[in-house]
Amino acid sequence: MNQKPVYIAAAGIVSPLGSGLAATEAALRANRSAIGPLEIFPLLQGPPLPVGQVRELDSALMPPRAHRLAREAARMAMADCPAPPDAIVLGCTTGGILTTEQLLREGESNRNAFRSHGLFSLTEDIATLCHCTGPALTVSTACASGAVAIALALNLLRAGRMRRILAGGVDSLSRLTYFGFHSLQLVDRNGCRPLDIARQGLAVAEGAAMLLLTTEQPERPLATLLGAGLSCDAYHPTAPHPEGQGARAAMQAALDDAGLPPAAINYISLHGTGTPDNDLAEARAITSLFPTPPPLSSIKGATGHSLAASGAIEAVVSCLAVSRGLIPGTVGCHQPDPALGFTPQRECSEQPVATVLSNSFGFGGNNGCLVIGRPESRPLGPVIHKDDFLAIHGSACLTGAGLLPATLKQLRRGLPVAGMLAPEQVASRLPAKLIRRIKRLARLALLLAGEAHADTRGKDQPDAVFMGTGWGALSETWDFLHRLNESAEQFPSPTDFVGSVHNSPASQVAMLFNATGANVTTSGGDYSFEQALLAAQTLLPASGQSALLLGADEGHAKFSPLLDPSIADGPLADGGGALYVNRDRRHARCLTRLAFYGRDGGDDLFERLIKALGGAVSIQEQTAAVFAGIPEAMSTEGNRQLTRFFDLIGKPLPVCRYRDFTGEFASASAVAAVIAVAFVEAGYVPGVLVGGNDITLRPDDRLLVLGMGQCLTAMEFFRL
Amino acid sequence: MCKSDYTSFFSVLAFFFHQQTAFFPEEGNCLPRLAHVDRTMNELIEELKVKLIELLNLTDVTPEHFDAQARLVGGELGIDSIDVLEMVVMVERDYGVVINSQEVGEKVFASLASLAAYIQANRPGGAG
Repeated sequence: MNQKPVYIAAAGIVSPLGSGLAATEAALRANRSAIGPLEIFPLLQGPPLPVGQVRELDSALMPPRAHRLAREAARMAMADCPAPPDAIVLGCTTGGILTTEQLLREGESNRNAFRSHGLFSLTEDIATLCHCTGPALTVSTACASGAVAIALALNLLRAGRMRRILAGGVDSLSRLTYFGFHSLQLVDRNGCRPLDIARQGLAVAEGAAMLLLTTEQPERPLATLLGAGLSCDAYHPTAPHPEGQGARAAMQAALDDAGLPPAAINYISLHGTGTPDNDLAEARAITSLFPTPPPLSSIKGATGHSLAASGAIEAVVSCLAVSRGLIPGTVGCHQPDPALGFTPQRECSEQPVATVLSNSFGFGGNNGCLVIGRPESRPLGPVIHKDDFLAIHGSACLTGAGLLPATLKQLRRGLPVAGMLAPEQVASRLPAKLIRRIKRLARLALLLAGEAHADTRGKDQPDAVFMGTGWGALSETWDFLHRLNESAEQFPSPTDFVGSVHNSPASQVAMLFNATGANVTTSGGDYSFEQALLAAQTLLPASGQSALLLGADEGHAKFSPLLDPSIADGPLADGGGALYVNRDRRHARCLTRLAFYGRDGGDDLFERLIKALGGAVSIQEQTAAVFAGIPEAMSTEGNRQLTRFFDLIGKPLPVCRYRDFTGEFASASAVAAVIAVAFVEAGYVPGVLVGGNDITLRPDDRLLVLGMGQCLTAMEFFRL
Repeated sequence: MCKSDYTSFFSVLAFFFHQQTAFFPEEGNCLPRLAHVDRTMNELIEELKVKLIELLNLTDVTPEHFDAQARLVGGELGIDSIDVLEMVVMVERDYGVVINSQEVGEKVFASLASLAAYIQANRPGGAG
């Protein structure tokens, strides 16, 4: 039996080329470049570099530009669909940072002003706009984010419980990315010339694109999403593997997923950023996989590189290619580089296109490829049955008390573990060369990853990495913006820019273990680890691969209290947890899954939660204890939710409000998960944590880690 | 961990878009007078050792053990393309010397001694 088709029912697009499918098609047909000098924020010195900017937006600070781009694309994609999507999956790298940059310059200290900084705020905004009560997930894998988000959505739909997902990507221009790419010498001051012999780099851009994906056949679908493939170079923080190894692996995986041979592809939409290294590595990957490459082109000389949006924008362009029978040109390419081994389409041409391969690659060696076909195309890949459950073979956590043993020792006495492990203690556990260029969050991630793998006592190195982080690398982001301002925009730090991307820690973990499988970073505020777990159980293959699943956040003296509404002035807490997981239940310590992720209130939310957990009776009889994550900023709502949950199942269960012990930070739930695993393995939960006697776990018992507040989530941990 | 090699990372150096044109002496002048390295030069080398250790966070290197003649990039210190860009910024900010082409970069960052020589020869009011 083949995979069920996933249709692209509708699409929304806002790019420098214009708004909507018609404007985009017209611009592509005219071979028009929309790249021009930066206008949307003033520069302190020097001539503006060429960028791709969306003209239709004003310069209002709130809601941030990225949020407004996303809203526009979402409205378009959902215009003809009265029913809300079951989930939202968006790729985004910098969220509301353009607004944050301005606020920081103005010395703004009112925390409310920063409410739209995080990636979570953007995806939640779109979920609210679309009345979505299911998971609203944010994927942040640098420039591959949009494609990876669409790949995750495809696999969520294939799992069968969802029918409609709005998926895509968005990023606005910002000082962080404008000066960041500039500091890496990756910007072509002559505009962007992908695949040209004289190409000198990319043009940073902005935009948003969304696809409404559905398993229910629409009357007039735009296209079908036939397959997706993910990989990681595990090679370098910014440079692609010179032979394009990771790029080739992702293309091959996407073709396999669609059940198609390379010869079935009629057009390749290249990542084609215009940097010498990217275009050459991509070309090598293509010529090694396609003996005779089909027509190919890059639209980035027309749009610029809109980072997380680019994969989604190019997916929409791929829909146009199959539905209109057009192949876009490579605007800006005047003399194709002979070293590439193929000649790209220079100008837009009309010809029948049945199947498109669309490439996206990003920092950290993150690669995502999509295969898009005509509406009547059917995927030929086999159905692979897998359940939600992940088997846990190793774990580690990090709190103010230290690693897992120290943390457990404190907790068993009923003592808090909140705090920040001293920087020198973190560094002392890691090789100096490994951590030379990375700051606190990536160090925490490496420490957690190494400890969790060591805890497996000899299991293979992991193939894939899934990591949740609420706020990403705050130290690098703060330091980059600080030095930028301090030097009057003259000397931004390339090292801090590279380290500032949300997926930098996960890519460091991938390099540590040579983990060349999927590498996905999610960012969902207080539910970031839950999002990473959902991504892992959805994307990890049914057999043959292991993964590290992490959740971590760093406390930053200046940034954390401004951004996270649950963090008060005073001592900070940070840390996280890591689990080594696969689908092999033999000798596993424990099984886990994310059983539920809902949002946006409504009484029906609890009914769905209880149903997902097997009904009130099952919850009552088989749940030994509940670890409840109630963020301080949502304490009233969270406590109300917990009471309601117990009311609905008929009796209160032993409960540990784990943030009382871990302190307030977005990834505290990752610590709770690791603690739950330890207690499942030990067979009891210490009474001091639940205000009663020690609780002995019976064979069928589970522990629940519930996330409350803005979203409602449930992670289950079972004995085997 | 980072397997970036000398060749691939120097391709990055081609993209300086600073408009200033640095004076680059003819071959033979650019790494000059090694026979009579003067006191100023030694001081500059020692200063750069300290700067690079801090800038690149080389915590396991001391100035005494920093070999000024050893291969700087792609050598044992693990210095790669991103570090080169960081050094380019430092050299411009602290010495007012712009390194703006691949050819220049390859020579300048060959070793700490060659970096010092280039700064010496090109700094405003310097010995060059």
